[in-house]
Amino acid sequence: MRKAKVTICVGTACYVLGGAEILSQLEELKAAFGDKVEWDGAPCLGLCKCGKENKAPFATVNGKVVEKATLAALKASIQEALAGKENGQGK
Amino acid sequence: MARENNAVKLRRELLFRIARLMLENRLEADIDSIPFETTRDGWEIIRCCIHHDRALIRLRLLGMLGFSAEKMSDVERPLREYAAEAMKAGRQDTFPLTMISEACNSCAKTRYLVTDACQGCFARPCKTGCPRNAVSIKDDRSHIDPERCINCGLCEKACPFHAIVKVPVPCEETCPVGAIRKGDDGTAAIDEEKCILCGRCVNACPFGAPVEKSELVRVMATIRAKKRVTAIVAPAAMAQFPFSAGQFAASLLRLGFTEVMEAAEAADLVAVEEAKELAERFSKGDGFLATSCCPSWTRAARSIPSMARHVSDTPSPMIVAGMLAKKRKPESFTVFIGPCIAKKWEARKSAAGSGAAGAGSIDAVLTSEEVGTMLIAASIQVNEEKEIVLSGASPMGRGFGASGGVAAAVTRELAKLAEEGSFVPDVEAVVVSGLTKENLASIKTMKPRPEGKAALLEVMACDGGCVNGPCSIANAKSAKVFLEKYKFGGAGQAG
Repeated sequence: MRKAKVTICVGTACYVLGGAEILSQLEELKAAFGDKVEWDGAPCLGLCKCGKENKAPFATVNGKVVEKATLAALKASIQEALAGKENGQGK
Repeated sequence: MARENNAVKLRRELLFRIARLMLENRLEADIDSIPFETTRDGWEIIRCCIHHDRALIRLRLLGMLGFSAEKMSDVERPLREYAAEAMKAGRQDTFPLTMISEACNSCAKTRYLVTDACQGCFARPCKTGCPRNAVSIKDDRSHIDPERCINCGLCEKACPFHAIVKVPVPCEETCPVGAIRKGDDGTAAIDEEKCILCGRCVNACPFGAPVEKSELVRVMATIRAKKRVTAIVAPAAMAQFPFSAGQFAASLLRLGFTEVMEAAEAADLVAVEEAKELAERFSKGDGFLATSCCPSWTRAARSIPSMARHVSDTPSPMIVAGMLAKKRKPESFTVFIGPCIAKKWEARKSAAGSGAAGAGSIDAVLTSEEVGTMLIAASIQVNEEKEIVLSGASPMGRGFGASGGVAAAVTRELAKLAEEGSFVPDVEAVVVSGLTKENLASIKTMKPRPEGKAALLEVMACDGGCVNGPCSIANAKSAKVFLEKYKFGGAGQAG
């Protein structure tokens, strides 16, 4: 079974600029994907530096960066990661 | 309330940009470039063109500097001139909410609309059920005559295809006191007499037209001038991050505040005072006391004749905390931090020389959102801060941050008075959580209690209490959980 590792940044920039809303709905995401997804919080992914604060909140799915993350965007990225690319038959 | 929307995000991004320029000491030099910086790569044009978007961002920045943005008459004056004024300015005594007329969509009056889903059916319950004969069938479709329609909504409910929808005016729809006035051109304006500053319109308007005026620049300039600045933090503001309140307090010190005081410390005193006040009023024949900690509520109560005299004379925890801070260190510049817009008005109303109780005790008010953007600008990671011990308040005082908390604290103080042998009447506590139109209507019809009984009415304008304030960072559900942690974490001895 394919797995996705999701890291949601809880650094101040990400949290204040939208991450708080994602975190409050995390249970919904967890319920949707069950044990196919491994969740991780990061104190700060460091992605908001160099004038990229306006792209916050950040998250990563299997290492791939999701900018301006929303619940919907994260869901889509996770689905993509779980589907994989090589066999294309994923779920 | 879902805050995951672009209007809220833009507001926070702009506040952050102002805060960063302030920290880097180049607000005047660079503020005029913010509308351009913000609309660079990846900006999705919202209005007719990018220039219009930038013009509106400029007006939003005006509000954030503390100025009114009602009229667009000063397009030529550079923002840097306003910024210079804002940094030097004393307290702004104008209304804390402003409407960017130019951003207002001038939404058409609330109406019912027949959509393409209409099948032109045979039963036609929309037509047969209309009390004003406003529905007719043209080209096999229902039509509503706006001249006759009274917006009763019966057709919407009757249609089996859900083909009729209500198109509301979001600000009007959400305003509990009818404070939105529409001009001849349909532009909304705020009736400052009626408005209770609950902030519902700020988050309801999909065009982000109502904006609150900020004292961010003024506070940051005061910190920069190395003055003694005291942060007085509301319980709900302590409950905005998924980390401890002690870490949040430490973050405020890192931002440059000299000291952090829990507003809950004053809330403990307020509970004692309100309990005494209720017992005293009862013995004088008036056993109905309404809480006074929510300024939106006290504003609303002014215009409810049956209620105005029942509102407690005890000053709010914010004012009491300010008085305590000034008593301890008279040179302190006191900044209240909460998720609230109405507190800005309350602080101004009690400005020095106003004659109000505790006049001059609060020098400025910041929202949780504004403080959050200051933390981003200063690259402060709340979770990396070493927590400081907060020991000034009891769990009851901290509980003022959510609905039911004030009633619980006052009830407990009444019980203590009874234990001490004082006369205390039987008290029924009524909690109104959220000043919606409906709740306001029910408050207006409240009857005095039966003989021999007293009543305590707790009203908070936000649904669920301050944890659901209009300028929160965390969603109300999470903030409520964080508040529980704060209540019992590192608390001093209860009461």
